[in-house]
Amino acid sequence: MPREIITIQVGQCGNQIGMEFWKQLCLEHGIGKDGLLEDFATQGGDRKDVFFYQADDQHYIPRALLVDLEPRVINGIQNSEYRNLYNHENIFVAEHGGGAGNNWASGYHQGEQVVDDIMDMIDREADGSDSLEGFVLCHSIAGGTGSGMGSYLLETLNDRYSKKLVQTYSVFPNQMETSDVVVQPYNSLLTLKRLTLNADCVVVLDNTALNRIAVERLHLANPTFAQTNSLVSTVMSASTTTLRYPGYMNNDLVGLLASLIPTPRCHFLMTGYTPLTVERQVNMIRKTTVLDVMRRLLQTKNIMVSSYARNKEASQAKYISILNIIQGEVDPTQVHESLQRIRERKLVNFIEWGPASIQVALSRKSPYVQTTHRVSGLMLANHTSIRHLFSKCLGQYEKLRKKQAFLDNYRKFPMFEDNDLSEFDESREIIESLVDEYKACESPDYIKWGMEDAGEANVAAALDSKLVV
Amino acid sequence: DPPMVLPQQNAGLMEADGSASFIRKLQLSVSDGLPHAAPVPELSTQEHELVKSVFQVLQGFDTVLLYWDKTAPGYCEKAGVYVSHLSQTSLRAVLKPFLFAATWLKQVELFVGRVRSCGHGTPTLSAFASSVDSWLMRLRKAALKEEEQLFLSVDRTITLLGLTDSMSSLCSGAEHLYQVVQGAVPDAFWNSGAQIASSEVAVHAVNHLFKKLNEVCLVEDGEGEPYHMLLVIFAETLLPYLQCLDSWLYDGILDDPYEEMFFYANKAVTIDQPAFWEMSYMLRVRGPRTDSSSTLADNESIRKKELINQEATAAAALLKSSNQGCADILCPVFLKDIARAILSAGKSFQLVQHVQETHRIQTREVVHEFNVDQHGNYISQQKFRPDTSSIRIQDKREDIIEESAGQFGNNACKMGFLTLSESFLICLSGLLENGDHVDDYLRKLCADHAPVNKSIVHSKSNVQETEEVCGENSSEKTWLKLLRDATSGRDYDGMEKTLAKNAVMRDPTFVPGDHQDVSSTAVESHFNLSCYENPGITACQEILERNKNSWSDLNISKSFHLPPLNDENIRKSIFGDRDSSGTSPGDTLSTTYFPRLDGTDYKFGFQFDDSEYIRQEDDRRTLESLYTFPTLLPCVNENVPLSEILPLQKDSTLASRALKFIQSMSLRDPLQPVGIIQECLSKCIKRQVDHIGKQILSKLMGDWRLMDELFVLRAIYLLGSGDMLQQFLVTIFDKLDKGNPWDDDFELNTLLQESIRNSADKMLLTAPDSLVVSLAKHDTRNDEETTSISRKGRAQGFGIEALDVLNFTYKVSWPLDLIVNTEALKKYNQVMAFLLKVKRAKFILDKTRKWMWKGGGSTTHNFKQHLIVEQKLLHFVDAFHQYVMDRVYHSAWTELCDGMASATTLDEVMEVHEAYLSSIQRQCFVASDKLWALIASRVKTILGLALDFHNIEQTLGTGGTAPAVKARCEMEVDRIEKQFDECVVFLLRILSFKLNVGHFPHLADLVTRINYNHYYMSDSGSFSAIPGSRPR
Repeated sequence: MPREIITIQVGQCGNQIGMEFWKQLCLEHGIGKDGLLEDFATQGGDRKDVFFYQADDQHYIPRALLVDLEPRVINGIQNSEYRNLYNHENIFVAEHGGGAGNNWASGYHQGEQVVDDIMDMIDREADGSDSLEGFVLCHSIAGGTGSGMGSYLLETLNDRYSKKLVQTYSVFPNQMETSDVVVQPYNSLLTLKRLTLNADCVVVLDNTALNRIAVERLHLANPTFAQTNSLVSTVMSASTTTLRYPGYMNNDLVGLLASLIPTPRCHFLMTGYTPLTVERQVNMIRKTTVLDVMRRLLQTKNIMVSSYARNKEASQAKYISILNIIQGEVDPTQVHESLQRIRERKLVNFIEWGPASIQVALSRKSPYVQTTHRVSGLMLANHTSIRHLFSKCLGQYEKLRKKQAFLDNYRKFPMFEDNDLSEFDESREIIESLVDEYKACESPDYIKWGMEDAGEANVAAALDSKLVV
Repeated sequence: DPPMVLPQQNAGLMEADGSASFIRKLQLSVSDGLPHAAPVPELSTQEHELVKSVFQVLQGFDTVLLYWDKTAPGYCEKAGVYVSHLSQTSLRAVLKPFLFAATWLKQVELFVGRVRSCGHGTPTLSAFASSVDSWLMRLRKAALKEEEQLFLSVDRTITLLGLTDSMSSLCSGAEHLYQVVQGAVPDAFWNSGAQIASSEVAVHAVNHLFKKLNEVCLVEDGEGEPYHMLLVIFAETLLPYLQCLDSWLYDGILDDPYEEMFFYANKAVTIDQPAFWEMSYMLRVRGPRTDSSSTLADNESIRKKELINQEATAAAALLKSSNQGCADILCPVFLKDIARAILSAGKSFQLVQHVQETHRIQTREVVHEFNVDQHGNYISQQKFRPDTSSIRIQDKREDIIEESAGQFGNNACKMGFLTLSESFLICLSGLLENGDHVDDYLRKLCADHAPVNKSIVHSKSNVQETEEVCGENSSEKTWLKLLRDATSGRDYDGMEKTLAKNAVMRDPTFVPGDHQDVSSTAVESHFNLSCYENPGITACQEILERNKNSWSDLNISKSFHLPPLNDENIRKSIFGDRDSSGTSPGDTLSTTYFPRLDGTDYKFGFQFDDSEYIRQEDDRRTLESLYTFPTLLPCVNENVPLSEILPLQKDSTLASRALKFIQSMSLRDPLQPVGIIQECLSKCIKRQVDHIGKQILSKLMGDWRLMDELFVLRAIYLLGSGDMLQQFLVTIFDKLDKGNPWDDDFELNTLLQESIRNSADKMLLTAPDSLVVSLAKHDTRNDEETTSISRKGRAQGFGIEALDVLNFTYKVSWPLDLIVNTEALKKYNQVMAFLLKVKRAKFILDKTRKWMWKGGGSTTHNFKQHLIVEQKLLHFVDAFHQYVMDRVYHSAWTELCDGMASATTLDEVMEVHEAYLSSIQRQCFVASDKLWALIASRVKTILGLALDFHNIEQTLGTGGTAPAVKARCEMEVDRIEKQFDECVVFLLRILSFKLNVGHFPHLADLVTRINYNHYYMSDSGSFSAIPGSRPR
């Protein structure tokens, strides 16, 4: 049973990281740039049909939708060496090609207008799946198309495929430097509401951290988007290896994510990967052990979400759960020793209101991709410090809101007509509630938090019912 | 008999001298009872007569003075015999050693006669009797030689006392020979011979000799003669047994018509049956009764009955345990350590041979086999690639194959070079002569050359090397000479070359005219007294060497020029004139050339032309080489060994010549028998056993691809292939979850085939239908439960143990089904049943969690509590699943690969696999140990709680639930949490107890995973009040 996954790439950033992701998957499965299986790819034993389907002419075609409101990135894909890989019927570019102007409301509105075309494409892909498990959305939360149109698609998917899982790889904006998008706090807040209510799992990829990693770990002076997107695709491919090379555990999406999200609202995951290399470091061969990998995954410098907390708050942060996906030549006894060592040295601070531990998934490697390390690892972690990132977004939003800056661009669209800015207020309340819940998880008495805030739960329910309408 | 003597004497005297004087009468009356009484003259004898009688009785004959008394039994002197210069007491004391020796020799002779005359002799017993008889003759020949020497020297006078000194060694030899014979055969053999097993008789004899050898060796001042005698008898007695071992170890054939071996064939089991390894050949064990034959018969009938009852597996298990428990194998004591290895080696040999024969029979399917190999190689390649353990196995397998290729020549050479008996005797010769370790030399010799046809060259080269190494170039070692003769004698190509060389050498010596001198010179220069073609010359070689001046007289080559039998010329000369009118032109020419020679006048000799002369010469040379001295008749010499007269016959093997050498040599220091056996016999056997082990291992790991098959079993039964059964299991789990019927065999198999076909691992199976699923038993309750959808009925049919009735059968082909047999597949199924429970619990809890993600139950006020309970369950299942799969899928497999890499025999392979099964069974808590049973029950309870929780959440999630039902569900959730906490606390307590975990340190890993954040138990081991912390 394939347990297929449909990938939806929205916006410039979404399509850029999606393109890198499919490159990586083709390399790992021995699929050529035109979708044909390479001559050397005779090993078998891998599940290509989770992410690809095979056409009648034996081409492997990604189960992917490429969606954008402006043509530059998708044109680049269609002119690249991978132009024959994708199904051309699964590519949507707005006819006007004007984009969303970094405006969430514009993206949302345009999505509303073209939703029938896009859902036809999604329905066709879903019909072509034997046993669809869920959707993966790649997007950025700062721009207009990925945030606005992505938000609308999240709501629509949740409505039409209510039993299917929805996972997102969401790129958060760079918080340290002046952004090109001055209104990104507005866009982030509005998107975060949909990520909270309409997604089952959000993999947070913080551009601030990605840049830091590119500069400090990869020694790139001025990292390009292609390089930071390559980091994202590394995370995406590593997190799906147990689906594509099935073993005895974690071979479907729900099985992979179930242990990470014990409470539904707290479904924002941060990632870490080690070792990270670029091409010029190919000649460096290291004797990496499992303990090295698992210890480095816990270091903040390898985590792709920056820490915005003050020292006092950072010390109180706790892990809700951890899943390490280890690839390479691994002896299970080494895994056990690593777990024991990490536990003895108290390198991990776990919650106290329920059982939690580091789950380890041993994954096979692609036989066709040569790596410079014997062992590599990806960490998917549910950590309460994620709330500080949300607080940062709230803080920046408050600054803009007080000044009433750039709100006229949002008033032009139906959701905000007649100066109705209640959507902003509702989003803020939901994100604040999310921050509070993550904070409550840091306390041993988390189970009582829901009892005290029964009123807020009712408010959330009311909001949900309103959205349905 | 003084009273007898005196009356006669008195009567004689009275009759002779009626008028005896007074002094005479007084002397007679006084001499009665006195020591100086004069003996009866008629009983007086000469001492030399007694000496002669002693020689006669020592050779087994009867005499007037010394005779065999059957009632004693023993040799006795005639009553009243005396010599003039010795008292009767002294005479008796002097004669006693000789009479004892003669008695012992006679007893030995009778023993040999009884053995040979009984109708149920065995080869070992016959060999023993023959060896004893040869020593008997040897001792008696010594007496004969002594007698001849005595009477040839006229001037010498031997006395009985002098004879005692010269014959002391003979007497002691007779005593030792008698002691050897005593106890060599079980008493039961004589009483009711048909009732005792041949193997018991053979083993008894061999063990008796071995024991005697040890006893004699321990005597500090022991002479060499008894040890020497025992050693030769032991070696000869052992030869028939070694011949059986030889055919078993080197040909895989049990050639044991007299049933002497320590194992026997069970013909009811053929080689292609799974029971072949356990039951095809059985060890003979000493039964509880003294009557072993009857016991064996009973066992045989019981065994056949069990086979008929289709309980082969149970019987095999029973026999296996009995074999292991009962250590009293009917086997020579010095072979007990390697008895089982010998048995396994022969069976392995048969397996390899059977495969080769099968391959020859299927020559028409070469293409098919090639495809299979290609496919197998392909499968093997992709199988071993993802698993590092398998990659390691692959490397080891390549090493084994490479080594096997190198060893193949060794095997070929070994089989054609020396038999086990010959190896034993030649090693014994070298060990006794110079303390040489011939075995090392043989190994080196065999390893040096692969082709057999180059044996002479390499053999000579190695002989030369050995001589150089030994540093004794002047004197050649006897065992080397024997070995070279044996080697050269067995290579007929070399012999042909030698003959050709001789033929070439004779041509230049040809001198026409001088026939007699030429013949004598040629014969003398090239004559070989060990000529194989002419046994007569070989037998008479000693006489010929001593009478070289007679060779010319014996050679009749000069008389070879006889007239041809064609008498046409004579006829023509007699009756030619009458038919002169019919003469042909040829005759006219002949008459013209030799007019005077026409007729019957032979005074000028026989005339022939040059070509005929050359032909005649060639014929003469051929006759001369084939029939040198054709009129020579060998003298009667009945004791010359056949090995010298007929060297190519069976009796003239290296073994007999080595034995003769051992008999004739003089031993220095006695060697320990254990050392002899170890050096000369055990090493050879073990080397062959190891060789066969390597062959069977290379077959298992190479052609038969054992590890590939085990890899497939691991993928199936241990759920290692996450994809092969995924569709099947998810569908079954869904049906169980919804309460739908699922127990249709046909539907199950259809579902299974579809799952395999859609799997990414479908290439693991050689055929899609090689894996079949069936229900263990027909469950009629399912029909009732289908109709009545009560909760209780549903729980029974769809509980955590619902899938225990599933039985997966994977068809393992021969000969791998010797290892992966029915019993093994049963264990695999037990392990799989447990893993399926864990997988189902994981599936159910994942489903529940996904449902909760999607907003199910989020409006209930106890939602948080439900989340906590669900997290407890899922965390436990995830941690436990990870732990079990690490142990079962990875660690056990690594140990299996290591064990297989170091295994040397098929038995060891089976043990490794059995240990693997035990390991995974224990890890899946299927073992019968009390500790594991406790853990297993708690784990199953928790897995069952997962199902209960899921059912409750489904009930709550249907929407229109009545408040009463909701309240009951909440109580159920509380019960589930409480029960879960109790189970976890119990598990953590029992797993943290050092005494329990001591033998299995990896159980600490399970504790670590379950309690990673100290939620249940702190570092100091105290448990938090979990039930009390629940909010109300």
